[in-house]
Amino acid sequence: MSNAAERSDLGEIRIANEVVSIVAGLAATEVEGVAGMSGGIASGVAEMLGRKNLSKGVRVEVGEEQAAVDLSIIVDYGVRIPEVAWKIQENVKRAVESMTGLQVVEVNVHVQGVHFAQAEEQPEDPRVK
Amino acid sequence: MDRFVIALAALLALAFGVAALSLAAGWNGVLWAVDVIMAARGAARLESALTGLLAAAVGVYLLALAGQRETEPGNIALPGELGDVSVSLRAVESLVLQAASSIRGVREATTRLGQEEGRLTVDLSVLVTSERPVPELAAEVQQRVTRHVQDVVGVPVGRVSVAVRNIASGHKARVE
Repeated sequence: MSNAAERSDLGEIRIANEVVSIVAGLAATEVEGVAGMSGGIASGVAEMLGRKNLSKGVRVEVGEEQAAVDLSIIVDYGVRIPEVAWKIQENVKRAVESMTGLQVVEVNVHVQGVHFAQAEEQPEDPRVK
Repeated sequence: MDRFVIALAALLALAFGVAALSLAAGWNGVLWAVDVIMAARGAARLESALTGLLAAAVGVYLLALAGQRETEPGNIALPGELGDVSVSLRAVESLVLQAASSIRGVREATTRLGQEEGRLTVDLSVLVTSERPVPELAAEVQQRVTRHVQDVVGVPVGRVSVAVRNIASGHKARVE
């Protein structure tokens, strides 16, 4: 089952899993505090070859009317992880529901890593100014 | 990246092992090895079989290792209304190291994390400089790591053990 099907009077509407993945991925990365998505080795290799993968780190399960989303993310250093995760859940649910009409039953967020910005690394209290 | 290299090495070893075994078995479908087969017919057959077996075993072992490495060290589950939220221990590990090594007097830190009854346990091993008294430093490490992890990850920290591995000779560079 790779598509969500919807019956209307005029015929069937199908939404590919890939579409749901991309919508979810974009909605997750636009949340403040998210440094990026975390894909596996396969998407790492694909990225090295120059293919931008919009559904990286996203796994979806799409049924007739419902969808479940699993996200693997990397957060920025300094953010409160639970707050960011909750924001992601809300944002992804809203985006997927409004764009595809599917009911999102759950959004599981898995924080895989923390991204440290190089510029922010300052010594505690330098002895010499 | 490590995993990738291991998997590659495993596949190479496996391929070599299978090739050597097939040579020993007398199968000469391997075109590039026809010359070797000619040489290997006879006395060298046993050696070829043994080498093949060894290489195949190494390949299988390395593959198993690569597969094992792929599993995460573990996760911490957080409550979430719309679905599960989990944080990999590797992410928490980097937070702990960041918090510990930003303290004055800590030169290097390594850590191992665990979970006991829903609480996070942290074992830290630090290399300190001699510019501060160790007890004071250790206490600060415990406080800061506890606070930092609770703030950022939102899970209670059960205990933070600090082991001072060594005292670094020489001072930290005074000017960065």
